[in-house]
Amino acid sequence: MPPTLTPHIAPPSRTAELWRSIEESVSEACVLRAEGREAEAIVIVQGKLPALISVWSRGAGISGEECQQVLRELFARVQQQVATATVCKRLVLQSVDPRAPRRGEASAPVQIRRRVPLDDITGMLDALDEGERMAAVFRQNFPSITSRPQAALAMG
Amino acid sequence: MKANSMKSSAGGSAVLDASQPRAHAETLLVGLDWGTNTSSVVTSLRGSEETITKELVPTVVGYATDDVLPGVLPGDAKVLFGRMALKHKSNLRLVRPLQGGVIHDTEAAEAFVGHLKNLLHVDGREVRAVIGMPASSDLVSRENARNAVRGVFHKVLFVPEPFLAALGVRNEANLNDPDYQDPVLNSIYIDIGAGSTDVCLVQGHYPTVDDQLSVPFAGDAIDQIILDRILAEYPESGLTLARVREIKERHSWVLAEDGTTRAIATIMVGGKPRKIDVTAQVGAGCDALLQKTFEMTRDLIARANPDTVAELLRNVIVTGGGSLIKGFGVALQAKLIEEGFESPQVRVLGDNYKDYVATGALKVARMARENQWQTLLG
Repeated sequence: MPPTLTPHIAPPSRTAELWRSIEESVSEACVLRAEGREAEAIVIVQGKLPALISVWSRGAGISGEECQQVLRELFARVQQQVATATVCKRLVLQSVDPRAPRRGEASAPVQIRRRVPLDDITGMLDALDEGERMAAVFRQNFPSITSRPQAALAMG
Repeated sequence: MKANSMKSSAGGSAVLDASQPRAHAETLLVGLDWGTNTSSVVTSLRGSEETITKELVPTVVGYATDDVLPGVLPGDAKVLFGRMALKHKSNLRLVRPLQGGVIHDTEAAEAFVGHLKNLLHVDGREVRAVIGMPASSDLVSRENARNAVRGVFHKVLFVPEPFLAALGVRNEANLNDPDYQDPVLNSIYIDIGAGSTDVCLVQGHYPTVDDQLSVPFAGDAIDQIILDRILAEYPESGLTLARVREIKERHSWVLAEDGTTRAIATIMVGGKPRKIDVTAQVGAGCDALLQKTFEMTRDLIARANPDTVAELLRNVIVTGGGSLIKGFGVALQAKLIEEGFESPQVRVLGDNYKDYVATGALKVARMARENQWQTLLG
């Protein structure tokens, strides 16, 4: 419901139902626009909303100027809500983006722990694989230790 | 596989062909030294000894600035890479995807590796890459690298750079030559990169956790020391790390205390270009690295079997960008003698050091078993 003028409108139940539809449609249009789905937003704004607003304004019991004011406030409020939600979404996505480089969780260097002759390249790769698994287990079991600076770990 | 369209450079786009890869023999093998400042890549077909491509590319991505006019950048490209990015840097926002040898900017890293792929004549083949990682790299940095190359390479392996350089510097064809001194049978291997300095004992086997030391003090730290010292004296110069890097690459040396060689750099001070003597500042940075490297080398020698030390001292190999500091090998050798070590011989691999890691990576790619490759699922 519009925040400022609602107490003066006191719409009947049909008018209240129409108002809820208008609110939902405005919200949906703003969200679609924020998602870049402009064509779908236009369908609502130009196709659905005018009819709803026309019927609602006739039963709202307020002047045309007041109707416009109420609608302007509705649009401003919903746009603000969507803008805030979009910022929140962006922040959340940034925090969970699997492509973003992970930082601040340094773990033990991946090193080999047994001697492998230089000629034995496949043996070296096996040893590295073991080292990677050990580092993973170590990180899982001792997260507080592995969060120490890498250099300290590398230096033993 | 992720059909990931990389951002276009002047050379077009790299799109992973997710269709059936060609026959086994047409798998393209890639050896990649993905360096903080410069990357070296070498390729061959699986089963072939012939090198197809060998490229050295500055590891930098340049994004066109909003105000760049049409026709200024080649093909009005939105993104340029490597030397082209450096050439047009005044109209680009330059991003270095790596810091300290590990991924720092995923988007730029993806774009850069996509550009590398464009250079490799992939022709729809399956692409498998062995990628060098700093010796001190951990699980997280490997996962970041894996994510960055997903959609560009089909299969990968990550191997510590010192291992690859040891393999790269070794000439297997000469192993039966009695006069050939195998550089990796008993040696100390020093890799001075941008983000870390790694010192390894290589005594016929790959260095284990006990055979290596690593500190996060290398080229970038030198740059910061030089910058801090110059700004302390010329606070109005507005000097940047990028400019300091240029000065260092041109003027860096150690053993400059004789005062015969001066480092004179042109620096903007108060909006005017001035020739400034930065000998002391550059020397301070390089000497700090020399001292740190010497201490690590000394400590690692103490870990070696005493019976092997005499031969070990005759094979001290310095590689990485830090090895390009003029006089570094001679200075390190002098410090080792000063410390009381007998007849140390320090060998600097020089300008070709990037090739050794990439060449070693290609050797690993040729030898890896099928089940050792890590498949990158999209």
